[in-house]
Amino acid sequence: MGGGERLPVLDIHAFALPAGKRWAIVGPSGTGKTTLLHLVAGILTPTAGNVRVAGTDLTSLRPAERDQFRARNIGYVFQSFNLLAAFTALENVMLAMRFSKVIPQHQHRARATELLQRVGLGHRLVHKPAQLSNGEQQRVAVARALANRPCLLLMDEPSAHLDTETAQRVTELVGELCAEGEVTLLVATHDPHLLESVDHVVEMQAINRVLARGAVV
Amino acid sequence: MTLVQIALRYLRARWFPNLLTAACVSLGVGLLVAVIVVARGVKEGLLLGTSPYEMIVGAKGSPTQVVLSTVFFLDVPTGNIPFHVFRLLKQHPRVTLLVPVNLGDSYKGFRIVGTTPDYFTPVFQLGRREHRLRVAQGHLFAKDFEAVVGATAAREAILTVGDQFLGIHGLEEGIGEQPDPAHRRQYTVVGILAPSSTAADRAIFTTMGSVWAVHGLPTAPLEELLTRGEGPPITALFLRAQSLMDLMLLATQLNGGPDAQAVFPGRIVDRLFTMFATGETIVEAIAFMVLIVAAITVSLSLFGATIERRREMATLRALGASPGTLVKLLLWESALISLLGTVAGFGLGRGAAYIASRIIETSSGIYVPVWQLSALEPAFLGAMALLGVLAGLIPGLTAYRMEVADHLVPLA
Repeated sequence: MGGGERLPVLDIHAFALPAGKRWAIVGPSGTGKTTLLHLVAGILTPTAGNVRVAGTDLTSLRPAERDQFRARNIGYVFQSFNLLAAFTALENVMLAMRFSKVIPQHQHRARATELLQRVGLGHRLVHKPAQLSNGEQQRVAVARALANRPCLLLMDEPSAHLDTETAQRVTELVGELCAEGEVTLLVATHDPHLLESVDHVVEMQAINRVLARGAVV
Repeated sequence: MTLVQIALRYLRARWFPNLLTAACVSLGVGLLVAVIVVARGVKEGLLLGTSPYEMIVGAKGSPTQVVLSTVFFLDVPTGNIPFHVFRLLKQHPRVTLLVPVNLGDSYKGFRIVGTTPDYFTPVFQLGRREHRLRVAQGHLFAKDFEAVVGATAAREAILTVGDQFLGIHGLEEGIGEQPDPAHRRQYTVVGILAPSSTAADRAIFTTMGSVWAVHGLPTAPLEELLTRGEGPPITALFLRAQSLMDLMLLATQLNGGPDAQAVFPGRIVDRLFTMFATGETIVEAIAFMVLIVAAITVSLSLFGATIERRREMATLRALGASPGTLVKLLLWESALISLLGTVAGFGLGRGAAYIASRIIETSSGIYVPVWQLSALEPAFLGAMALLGVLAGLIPGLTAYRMEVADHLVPLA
């Protein structure tokens, strides 16, 4: 960056997430939680080693193949939701299906409607993100992440922009949806309330050897 | 949703800057279309106007002036030719059509043209388009001081069958001026021509004898003058011959003599366009540069939009859109803006060309057809589409090379 030396952010010897389980990674800001999620999602590629999801080595895939794999197998709820401002809630969910091509095109609208109804937004289908509250945007992001029936759901600080009550409702909802679809969940958080709903909690300090070496991240 | 629908949605989300960008494209396209259409229209109008005549015989002087004054009733004639030239050509066995034309007077700015009924027989033809001179009301002139009025002249000078009017000498006096006493002879309108999209629309036709009479020249029926072998001078003769060789021989003969010159109107039109070609090329080059600037504007606008939408683009990637899909999306956006600008530009250009054609027709009498599609235009549309797509390449490549993770970091 800017011609300076590139510092390692993550150095993980091994980290395995059992299928169908709900795990959380915790740690203060800057410990590499988002970077880890990006690596697992194939958004980032590691400089060394590999990342396997459902038996596929993401590092061996070409960028376009990795994009397709992610679209088909991984749902991602970003900390800032990253909904597409020009599109309605319904279209945001439909777009995820459009790029993955997992769900037949003629079912896109019906499935998106059903998911948004499940997250309590049946009355907000045609509203654009700017017309939705933070909690509603979060729920659209959850619906979008689950649209392609992924085997893995990644969530980055889902409660960061929500009040306690809304965060709790979203957590319960995600728990239900994950259980129904046998979705493996990996959630990055430092919210203690959220931790109660997962099967296992991993400390970033325990897996990131960069932190153990005392390097600044 | 198709990529086109996604592109349209993004364009709608930034409708105002996109509309301004499309307006830039439309101005460039409009300018080029107007230049192409008007230039082609003027040339076609000139060729159409001269199409019935293979040769014009006029007084010595500028050949261009002979064509402009006698065919389009612009400018003043170079002078008159002696009657015996008319007689000679009338008796020539290889001449198939000979139409005499006498100019001199006008009414409310419209030329009074002395001629014979033969003036109304040839067909004005350009490609598959044909224009004929046809009397819509009344009949052709049969006697001196009977007049047949062109459609535009009748409308603008408010003349109908049965009306009488006084001609004035030349064109210079202008509309509404009183004729001098020597020319106080009343013409009677006996016919109105149907619109023909030729210079005839803006003229008033009468017998040869009428024009001679108002100029105080001894007159008699044309056949009698021909038999007699002498008569008053004539402004010009329109001529067709049996073959090109006959025309060339006649031209050599006439140009070698002291009384007249032979002019080939097609050559004069070509010469006029050769003279104007440089100017036309410069205007076209400027219009092309405007187009390139418009394409750069599209590129810059989309580049700005791409930078502005980096997070959205990264999100699309995270949702499974490949880098190639993003390039296609931006190419669609660019192509759609260019298409909108091009379509609007075609309308604008055609509209501007129509206004220009009306001004040219009103001021010069040269019919300028502007509604026919030229072969250049589809090629030009294709070139603009290509340019529009190319304009999306830089923004597309920017999106292609975007580091997704950099733009998915949580907002502060």
